[in-house]
Amino acid sequence: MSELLRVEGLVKHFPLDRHRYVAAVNDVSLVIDRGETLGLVGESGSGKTTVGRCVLRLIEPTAGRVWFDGKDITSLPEEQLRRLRHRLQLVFQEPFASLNPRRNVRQTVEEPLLLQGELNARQRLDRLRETLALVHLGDRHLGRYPNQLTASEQQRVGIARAIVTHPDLVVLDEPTSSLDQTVRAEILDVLVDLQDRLGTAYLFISHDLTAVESVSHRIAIMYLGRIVESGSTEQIFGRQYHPYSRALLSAVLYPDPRRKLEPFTLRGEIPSAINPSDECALYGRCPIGLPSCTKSVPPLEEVEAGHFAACFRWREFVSEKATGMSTHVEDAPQPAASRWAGRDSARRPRGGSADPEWRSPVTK
Amino acid sequence: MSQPILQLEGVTVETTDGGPAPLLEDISLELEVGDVIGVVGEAGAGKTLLVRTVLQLLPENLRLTRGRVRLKGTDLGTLSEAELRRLRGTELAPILPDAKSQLNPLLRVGDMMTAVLRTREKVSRKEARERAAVLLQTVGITDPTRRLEAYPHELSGGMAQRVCIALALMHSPSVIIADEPTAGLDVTVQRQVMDLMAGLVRARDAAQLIVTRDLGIVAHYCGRVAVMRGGRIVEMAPTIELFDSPRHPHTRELLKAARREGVVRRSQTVAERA
Repeated sequence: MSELLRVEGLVKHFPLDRHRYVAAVNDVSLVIDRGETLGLVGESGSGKTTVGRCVLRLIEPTAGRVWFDGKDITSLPEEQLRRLRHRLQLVFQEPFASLNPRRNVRQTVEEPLLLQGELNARQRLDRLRETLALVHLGDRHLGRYPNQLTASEQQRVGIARAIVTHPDLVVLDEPTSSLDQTVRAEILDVLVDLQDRLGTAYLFISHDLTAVESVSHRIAIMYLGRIVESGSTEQIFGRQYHPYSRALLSAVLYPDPRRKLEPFTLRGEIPSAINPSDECALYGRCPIGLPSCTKSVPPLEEVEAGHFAACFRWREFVSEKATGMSTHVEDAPQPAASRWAGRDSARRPRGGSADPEWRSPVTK
Repeated sequence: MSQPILQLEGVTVETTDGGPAPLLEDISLELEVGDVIGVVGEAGAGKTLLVRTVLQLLPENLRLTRGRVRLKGTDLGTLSEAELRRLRGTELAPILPDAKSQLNPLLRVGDMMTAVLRTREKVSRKEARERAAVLLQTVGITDPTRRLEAYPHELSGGMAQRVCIALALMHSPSVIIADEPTAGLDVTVQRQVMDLMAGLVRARDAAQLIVTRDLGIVAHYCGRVAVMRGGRIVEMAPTIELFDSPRHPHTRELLKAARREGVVRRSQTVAERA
């Protein structure tokens, strides 16, 4: 699989005044292959939305580089960037708020095609119909306005608008957070189906871990502006090498009363991102933190092939709890070719896991 | 068997202008000491209306047309507005979603808490403040004396919800009615808030009604679950039973959506890829 997006050393600071700034994103690197979904997970304030906006250059990063399809788009002039826009799209969190109430479905979904300017009227209508069918909407919806649509239909219009130009990458910023569970399931199904048909890559930004688990090939977990752990979906849900990841996954309430809850291990709340010091950001809340953790920021280390964690004490952390903590079946250790090993995967199958236990981030 | 604290008997709510169908129809529920019952359903199922009916806070154009709500045997429908006001916040404590909007933005946390305390009990300002600080500590707020000085906008969402829980607990309620208590909070904060409420209900011999659309909350924090749709309870069962063998098609539909059965995407293991 070929690389579609590469982000290296992304930093975004928002100045507050002469001496203070919010460090929203600090040194974030990631790669997304064609047709792949990377789930970007974190609590509010972790910087995940800022990463999404910087990737699309809706806001300008403070430092770092973004390559899209081999091209450095970090310093691309606005006018050239606009010509790339139809290949890089965005779906928003609030379906109703993201649609113009005075434009009907046809006007909304057709606009990106008009901006792209490659298709004539006939071709545009064909593309429009074909796209609406992909999100399970029909001709009868063409003339409707957002207030005449259900929440599910609204979000499917938002998705149709994003994919109508057949983009290579769609950034999905919390696309299901404000929706009922049955609607959420519908939207996730549509997204997975679209990816199969069109080969679109997704950056799926969410704090909903069960949703992320079901659509992502790989997952990166953010805490206070940094990626603290990343790996394949199986690796992340199988065994966590970072105390924050483990706490985050243990907080998920699965709709299964037989699954026993692990005690929640983090103290207090996510600290302020204003002028952070150079120490492990989890120090102070961490169940295994030592004073030595405040000396510097822990780097991402490869803990197994394709699986990275940023904890000074990950070896102690996994060995302490190695017994009975995980349903993860050890993969044979493979030498890693590079920092990005593990991403170069072939088409990965999804679905059909008959064993409900495998999802378990923790077991009884 | 002990007497139920809260009892809903065939509660039916209709519009006063003779709208087509009842908005709530024939709802019956019972809560005893220590019970935590979950009410689940999608937007529009009537969950929040149920909460307002229990609290006797129905909007002008709606009326309880059949059935009754009893609190420790007393029919709430027979009480005056003044008596009801005394009950809400003492015996019946609501915890509502979006905690930040529940707090008066112009009052410091401490002033709000002492004011609430002093409406019911004759205590000095100083003593009220001390009790407020102890309560904040109970709901897991570190550094409570500093937080008493804070305005709501200075609190995080989780902290604001803890303050609301502290306010609800102030007069040792026997029933806590929580309507989407963790909507909009992060999973880690949700976990902390839910653990906190569960512990408090146990420690204080109270009962709790949790209204939510999140089946994960229900699975782990409720002993019994009522599934609502279109203003009716379509199924009610002990939690494990409901999840193991749902009977109503709508329950099955909700569970299927929540579990995302059959759509879990697995990446290949490293070994398979090599």
